[in-house]
Amino acid sequence: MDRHAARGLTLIEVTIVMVLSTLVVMGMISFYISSQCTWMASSTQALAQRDATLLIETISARVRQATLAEPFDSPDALHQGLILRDEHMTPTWSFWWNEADTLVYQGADLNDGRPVVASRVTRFQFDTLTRLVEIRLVELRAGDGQLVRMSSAAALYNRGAQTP
Amino acid sequence: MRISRALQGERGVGLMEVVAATVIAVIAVVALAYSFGAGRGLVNQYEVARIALAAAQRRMETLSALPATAAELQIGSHPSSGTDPVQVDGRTVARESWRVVAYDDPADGRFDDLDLKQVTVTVSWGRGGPSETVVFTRLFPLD
Repeated sequence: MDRHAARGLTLIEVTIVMVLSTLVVMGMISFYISSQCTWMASSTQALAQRDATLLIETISARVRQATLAEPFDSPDALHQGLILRDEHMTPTWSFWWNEADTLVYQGADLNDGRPVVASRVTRFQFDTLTRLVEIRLVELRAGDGQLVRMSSAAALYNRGAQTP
Repeated sequence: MRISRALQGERGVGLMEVVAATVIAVIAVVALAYSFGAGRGLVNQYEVARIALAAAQRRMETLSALPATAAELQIGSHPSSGTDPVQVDGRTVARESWRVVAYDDPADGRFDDLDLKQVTVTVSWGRGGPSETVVFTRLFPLD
């Protein structure tokens, strides 16, 4: 091999290679960050959806055991609570929205509850009919800021025909 | 000279090899990006599925709170308009309907007598027309 041919790289060549490799690396980093964002958004959205379903199922299960349900503003009409009573009109279980941490709590006592789900709730509204509790709107905020909305209803199966 | 021979053997990477490697890498990256997008699409799709499930449950609970003689529980298809919109916060996300048929209780030992009502609630949704459904079935007392 001719020693003159092994002349190495010039500054221009090195610069071009560095610019090209920087572009490639930047593209890969931006793709990684974009994929990471998509993955996080999907995950937090799925978690919020799961929490919304869990919240509705938890409320429905308690409502089905109750005789009477009383919604109340906690503290306003967009953020309500629900007191469930048995056949002796004794409060047995409650759900309420807590303004301090925007979580929905449940418990036998309004002063001693625990969060139903970990997702933050932005709206929590009920309507009650004679034998039915309508969960008008449960709106949860996912980690990426998107809102998950759901509604359902549950019948008061413990409400006998003689109950006023 | 030994070093010169060794250097002659290191001929580097050919243009075709670089092009092939780049094409394979691009295909892999595009496939990966597509899988993330598809995953996000599935999450959004399941959001509507969960809403539809809750809506079917709401309809069933609403019907169960009605007296057996209510118009909504008479034998036939309901509602009379064909379907009702399922709305969440004023936005229609699906359509619902339910069907009531007479049902023979197989446990009573008698055949061809009607003991119960079988209610089937169907909630359908999809872009450009219903393409997916959730179906709930429950037995109700006849009277």
